[in-house]
Amino acid sequence: MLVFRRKVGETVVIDGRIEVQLLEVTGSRVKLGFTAPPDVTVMRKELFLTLEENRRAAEFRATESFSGLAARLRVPVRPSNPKPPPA
Amino acid sequence: MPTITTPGLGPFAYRDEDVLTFPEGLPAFETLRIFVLAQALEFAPFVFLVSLERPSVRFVCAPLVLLAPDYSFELLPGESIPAGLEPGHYAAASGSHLLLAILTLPEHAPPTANLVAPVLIHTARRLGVQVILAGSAYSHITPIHLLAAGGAPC
Repeated sequence: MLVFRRKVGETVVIDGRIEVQLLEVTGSRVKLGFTAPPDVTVMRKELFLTLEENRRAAEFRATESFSGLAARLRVPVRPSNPKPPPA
Repeated sequence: MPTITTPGLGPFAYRDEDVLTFPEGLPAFETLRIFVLAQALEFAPFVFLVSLERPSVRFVCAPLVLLAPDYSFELLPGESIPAGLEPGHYAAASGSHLLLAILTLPEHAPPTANLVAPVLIHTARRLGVQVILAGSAYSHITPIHLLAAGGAPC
């Protein structure tokens, strides 16, 4: 991964046509500004992943294994709750 | 009672309260705003979000209270809050709203649940939103067999 150190107001240029400017730093959060041609889509990564995942999810085809999965989920296996992994 | 049929599934009978408005659609399907929450005993605990405008578009979902009973998230004031929602704490187990995970069920790969982007259904308002969580410790492709077995999601 390419790493730059930038101060507020400074900019990075990607491919000569996309600019990313550091606008603000508040605690652990930074505000970024993007300037890009209309054919470049810029979005948060979690949105991008969900967009792709929704497309995959919508391709679902009902099969026998799906009914089996439903039957397995009907039986609670353990009372304990899954926890998210440590950050 | 009206019914809706989606390829390979249905017909599902549904009530007025099962018709949900998604003011922003769902990512990748932003133009579809009305979905039916379709259910049938034979597929429980799965439920389906079926587009009323284009019934071939449907999502298999599972209640998060079943997949991850402790699941919750915060919408903080000042963050970008989806239309129709207020800042606050949203838990999988709640009487006022329903949290669903959209499942991906590939034919030749293990099923997964998107726990980064839960579908929040405000039952009284008949409103739905897929909330995209920033900085979530969960994955958008959490294997659901691990969840069903009580293991930690990947």
